[in-house]
Amino acid sequence: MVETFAISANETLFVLPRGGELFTQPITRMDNECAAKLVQCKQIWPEENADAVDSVLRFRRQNPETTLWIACETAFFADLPAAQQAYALPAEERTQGYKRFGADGVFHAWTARQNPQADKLISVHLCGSTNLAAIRAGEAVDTTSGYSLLEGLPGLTTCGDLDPSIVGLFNEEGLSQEEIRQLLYKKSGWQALAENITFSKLCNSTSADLSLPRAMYFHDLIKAIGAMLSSLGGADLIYFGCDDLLNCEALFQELRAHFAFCKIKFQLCEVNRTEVLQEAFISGCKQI
Amino acid sequence: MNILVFNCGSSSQHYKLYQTTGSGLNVLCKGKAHRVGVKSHEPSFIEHTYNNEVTRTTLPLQDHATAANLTLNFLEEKQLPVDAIGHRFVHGGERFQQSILLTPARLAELTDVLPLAPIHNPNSMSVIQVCLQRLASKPETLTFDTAFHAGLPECAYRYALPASLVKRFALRKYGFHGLSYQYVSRQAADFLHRPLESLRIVACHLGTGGSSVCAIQGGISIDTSMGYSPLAGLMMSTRSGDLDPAVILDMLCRGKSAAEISALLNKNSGLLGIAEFSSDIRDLIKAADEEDNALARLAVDMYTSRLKKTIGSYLALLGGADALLFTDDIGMQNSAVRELACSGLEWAGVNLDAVANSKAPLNRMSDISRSDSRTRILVTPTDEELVIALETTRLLQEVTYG
Repeated sequence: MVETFAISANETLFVLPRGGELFTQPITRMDNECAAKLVQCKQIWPEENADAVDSVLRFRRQNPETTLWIACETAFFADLPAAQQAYALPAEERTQGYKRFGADGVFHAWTARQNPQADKLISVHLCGSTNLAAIRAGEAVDTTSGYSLLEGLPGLTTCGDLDPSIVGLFNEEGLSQEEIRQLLYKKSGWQALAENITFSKLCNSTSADLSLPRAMYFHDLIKAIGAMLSSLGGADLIYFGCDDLLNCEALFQELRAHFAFCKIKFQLCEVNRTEVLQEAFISGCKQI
Repeated sequence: MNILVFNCGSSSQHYKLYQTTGSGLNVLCKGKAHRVGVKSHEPSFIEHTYNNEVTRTTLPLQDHATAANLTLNFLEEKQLPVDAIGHRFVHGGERFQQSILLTPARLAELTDVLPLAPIHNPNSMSVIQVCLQRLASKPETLTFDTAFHAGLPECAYRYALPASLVKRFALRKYGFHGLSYQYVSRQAADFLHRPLESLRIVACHLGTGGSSVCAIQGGISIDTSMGYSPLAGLMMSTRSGDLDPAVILDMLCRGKSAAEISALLNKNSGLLGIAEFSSDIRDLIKAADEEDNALARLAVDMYTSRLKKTIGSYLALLGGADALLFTDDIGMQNSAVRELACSGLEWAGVNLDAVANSKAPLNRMSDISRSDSRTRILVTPTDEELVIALETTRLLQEVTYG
């Protein structure tokens, strides 16, 4: 899905899922240099970026008078501490750009700005591609997402964390690179465990067919929160944002009860994505 | 009866020769080969302890078969007979979920599971071959690290991959270091004067080669950091630990073969990959502290940060823990690693006593937590060899008495 937001009659914001080292500012004004970088980002992360990049470049050709802005989902994590950013790979591999870039940065940055009183904050985006950020004094210090959208919790169709040896095994056993790509991005995740599953069903259904993905989601979410708490050394607030409170209330209460032992404040909010993008634009422009 | 136990790690090899007595097992002789087949500032050596005398020989140890031959030479020299041999075998896959007596048929089946742990299983197999050649008439047993985790709940062991592939490749989180977790969790229960069944334990097995963390509830593994293979989880001496699957896919697309990637991630990554001059965390802490080496500092920060996050995730899973255990060479000997790993876990009731930590003895279990810590932090020796020896005794009794 390509996300856009009409700022005014003459200005439009596009969301770029992955900007890597090419987009490290939350908001970038479109020009020829920016367009060239977008093409590079599409080449590096075709699964995540192709639709967004194709859309924005097409829109630019068709609407030359409109000012375009790019909001990058990974920019919030551009200054992650080196120990969180690096993979434990040799220098030759690290220079290929394999780093942890995070995801959903527009949401997590918004969460940080909404909760300035929380010096140590954990932001949880409850959605079909749930991910978390550990934030100290408004800056990201850790996250569950990595180089791509695959790392971390499984999504509706994405595999989540895997033993690294498994991908090599698939290749050795004859799966082509494209088959592996389709498998990890499109044929895994919750939909590989239960047919026709949605995020709403994952959170709320009591059907036995969904008991495994639900148990896995709860298990993984608890572990992810524990990891972020450890990175921060505790938290003043764990803030959960979702599109629909009704979807997430039961899950949220279950999580809060589980973490009662550590007496940390939990908060669940319904988040209006349009407002988030609008606020991200205003905040981003102030930084330019 | 004398039982010789071989315990091959990725870069070490422990052995113990036990004598069975009416009341249990006595250690007649023991030893360890250090830095087997690794690149390090420090030289390789093998040491033997017999009759309270330690013999240490510094020499190149290019592989585990060499170390095993040196051990058998030493036992022959001291005229210590061997009646049976027990081996640690790291990965039994789905086929081997309990200890076995080695037969020609099972030896053939073991060949199939060698690739599941490419820097462990072949080491053990090479030592088995040495024993088959030199102690041909003696029974050999195998005890598998994966067995302790065979009862993981499905939500912990399942990967979010299509069922057809899961079945075809027997994909699941198997977990490792099970012998160690089995031993130290029981020891902790004794130390705390609590029944094991009542305890929530987070145990860290931190070796010079491989490391993992395990969440244990009532004596049963409910999650662990290693996965389908011992490559997953924590950053290790030469292993990358967890990595975004897209990175591997990208490496394939750039022309690397699966075998090249496996070698890269298993043998040239981890601490060695970052710091470049050593795969030993002890070298790196020294270089970071005394020489202000930036790459060594980064490697230490990555290692301890990932360890702390994994401990934290299991503390969260268990709803807090009664005990946090540190064991094996790095877990026992390195107070700096323990201090860095515990720093920031106060939210879960983990409070380290810095003085007790720095003075923790190396030969017995000790409590290094502050008196107000809800979680007892324990440093404890492990004894995987004893678990293997007991399993060997049990299997041989089954053969003898049915």
